[in-house]
Amino acid sequence: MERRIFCGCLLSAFPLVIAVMLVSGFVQTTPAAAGQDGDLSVLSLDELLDLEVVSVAKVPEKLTKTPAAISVITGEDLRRNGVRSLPEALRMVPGLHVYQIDGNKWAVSARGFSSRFANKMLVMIDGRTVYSTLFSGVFWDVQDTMIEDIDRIEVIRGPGGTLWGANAVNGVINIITRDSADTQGSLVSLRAEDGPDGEVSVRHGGWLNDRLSYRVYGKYFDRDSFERSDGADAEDQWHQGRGGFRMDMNISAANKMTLQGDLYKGKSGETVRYVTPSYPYLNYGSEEAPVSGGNILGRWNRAFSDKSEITFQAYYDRIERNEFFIDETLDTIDLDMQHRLDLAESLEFLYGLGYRYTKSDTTGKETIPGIYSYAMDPRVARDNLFSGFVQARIGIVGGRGEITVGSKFEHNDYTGFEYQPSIRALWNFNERHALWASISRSIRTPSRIEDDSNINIGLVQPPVNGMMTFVRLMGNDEVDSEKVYSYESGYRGRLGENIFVDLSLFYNRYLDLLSGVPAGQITPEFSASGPHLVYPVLVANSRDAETYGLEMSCEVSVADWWRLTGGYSWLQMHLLDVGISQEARQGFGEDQNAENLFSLVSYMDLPHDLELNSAFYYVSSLDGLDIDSHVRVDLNLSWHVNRTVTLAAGCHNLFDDSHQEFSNAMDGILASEVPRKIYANLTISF
Amino acid sequence: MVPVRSTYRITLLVLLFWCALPGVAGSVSDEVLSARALEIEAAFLVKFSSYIHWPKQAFSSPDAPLVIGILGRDPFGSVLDTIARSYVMQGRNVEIRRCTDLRTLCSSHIVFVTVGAMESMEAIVASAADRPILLVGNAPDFLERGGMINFVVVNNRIRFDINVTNSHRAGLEISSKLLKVARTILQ
Repeated sequence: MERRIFCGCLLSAFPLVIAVMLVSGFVQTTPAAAGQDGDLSVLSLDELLDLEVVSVAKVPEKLTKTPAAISVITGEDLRRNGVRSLPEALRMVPGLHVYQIDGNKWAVSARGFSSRFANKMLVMIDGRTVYSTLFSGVFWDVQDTMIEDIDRIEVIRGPGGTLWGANAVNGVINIITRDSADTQGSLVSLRAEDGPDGEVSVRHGGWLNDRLSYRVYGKYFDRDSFERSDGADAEDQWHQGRGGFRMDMNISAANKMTLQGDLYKGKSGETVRYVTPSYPYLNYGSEEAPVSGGNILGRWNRAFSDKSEITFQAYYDRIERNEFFIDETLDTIDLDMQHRLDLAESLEFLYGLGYRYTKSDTTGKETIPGIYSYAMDPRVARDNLFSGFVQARIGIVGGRGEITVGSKFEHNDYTGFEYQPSIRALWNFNERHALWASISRSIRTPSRIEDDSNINIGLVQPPVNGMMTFVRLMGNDEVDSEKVYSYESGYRGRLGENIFVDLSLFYNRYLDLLSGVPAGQITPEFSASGPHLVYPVLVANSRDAETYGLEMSCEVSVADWWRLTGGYSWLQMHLLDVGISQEARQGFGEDQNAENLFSLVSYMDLPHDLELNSAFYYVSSLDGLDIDSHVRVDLNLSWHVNRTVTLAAGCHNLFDDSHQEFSNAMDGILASEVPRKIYANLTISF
Repeated sequence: MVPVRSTYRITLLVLLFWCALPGVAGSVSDEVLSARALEIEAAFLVKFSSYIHWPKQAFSSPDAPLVIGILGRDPFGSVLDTIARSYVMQGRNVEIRRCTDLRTLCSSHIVFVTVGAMESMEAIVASAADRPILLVGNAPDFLERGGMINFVVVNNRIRFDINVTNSHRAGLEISSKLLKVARTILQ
């Protein structure tokens, strides 16, 4: 007799959608600004305002001189496209896969493995890593800030481990807010959307003395629920309040300190599917999950000369989340230092040390309704992570070429000692054309779910020998890290006066991917609800995979009032094992990523202080999830009425009532249709 | 006295720490500062043209170049020419002229008044009077003495103040986008 396993929740993700970059270190990337070569004419007004007169720190590196697939979007790009949330901002980045799951959840990844718990990306906000140690992945509904205060978002596709002083397997997303000296005065932003949705943000910045600037902000939004594809209310309404501050002290041009912090609290609605022990075995429930948290971060940057610079950073972060399937209170303390030394004309040396303490507490939720027991063993995990990295950048052939070698080393409580070396090379043919290539090894360390879980995740139907049979996921503290060998190359160049082109190719080989493997005998067990059977599934390093593809982007200044940016990416992903089920393949993310992504964004400055922006996105089908391809068109018109007032109106999803972007094969969350949104925005700054 | 000794030890450690780091005394010379500042100011000077509306008669033909004049000893050097060469302002090329006397000033659309030329600021304003010429400078009293946009260094970055009364009088319209990023506006 054929038996079926009913799995309803996130935990049923057989190949565990997991994990974490237990990283330390922080990305200190440099602005994508022009260097000393006098090519400042291509910079926008805002970029010029941002340039430092004295850059004792690392000489701002040109994009064209970075041996990695890097893209930058500016705060100005966000404003002009009417973007109001961080994951939506990432749609503009070529090669990033951004799928909205429901009203407040997104799957964001690069180069494969898309899922709500995409676990191979490192995401940072002002140097603070944001992820959950329990299930890994980034809860995008609680990653936010005052959008007007965002300076830029830097995205590196591919391993970021060594070059950026932090570890990340498939990419690094670094969200950087503006110095408080640049957010002076008061700003009130009001937004109304059909839905009805509303948002209000208020910020005030000032100077405490001539060296110490500050800003404080507060924002609140309330968004209505979406509908599901069957027309039912998805009950994924979302509201959140948030406040924070940032202080920057310029003791001198070479000595800077920053102190910043945020607090938030809100509710994220969702509809979940779970298993019941009786017919029809699957049930649905809705809830408004309370989420809250806060953080405080201090950073001190001291340049001793243009050859030596040191940065210290420390932060504390707390996340509280109580969802149907997820309950965690996570406290993180993170300490870091990084020192750059130019040892010779063509030898730059960079090293860093880091320590992170995390306390993940899951005692808040003992059981899950239905048949789910929920237990992590131990209930409270206290983990230590020690890390260090060294990197040397060597100029060759009179500065035309550059070789970067280095490695990150760490010791974590799950797999012990780990290393992540990489070598990168860059060759500048001339000022306009550059080629780069790299080889790196990076790792993803197991998360708590892979190590500590002891959870009933499903039910075998019909019952074995007439007895209720639970599928139980069992963590394994013997598992090893997942390993990835990445081979990349790229070209970047300026064609003519007004066209920038960026192309990158990659091949990634994944070894020892973690997944659940049926283990051993079905065993009887006795509990308060009577005798039953247990079908054990053990976490193990059981799969290998490969991905390859290309990413292209292009920026064209058609005229001084019209700029176009385009992006295209092509991705292939294969599991290397033979004979695994379609279900298992899906859980790994195979056929769960669009093979083709295309985007075109247009920025027009019109007379009378008007700005017209339009964006076109094409996302090919996600066959493994039965999601059709879709086209999305956004439009935004802004009018700078005078120095104080800016009005904007626009529409996201112009030609489409609604479409589904992702599905929930494994995580128990019911997906919604992403609707058309019409909005108006009033910004007053004074 | 144990407490005293431990304090002493900490102080010593701190001292050792600082001494161990190379180049503690290193700092950046003023020369480097002004070179970079001027480079950024040069870029702004050219960029301003896209945010100013000149009356039609300011240009002899639809494709006549936009002229930026430098009054006084040119502080920018080739940097300004390089930036101007690669810039196109609404279909117009940008031309840089070093003005030797006030009469040549009239054919410019933007005039940068160097600190050295500030001595004759009143004469400059008089000869530019009622003509659509944008006067840009970087002297502390530039706006009070008839200037329109003045560069300042704030928090290690280049900012500028705008005197809209003076620009209005010259018949120039400054876009609100530029006004928005200005540090202060004098009415």
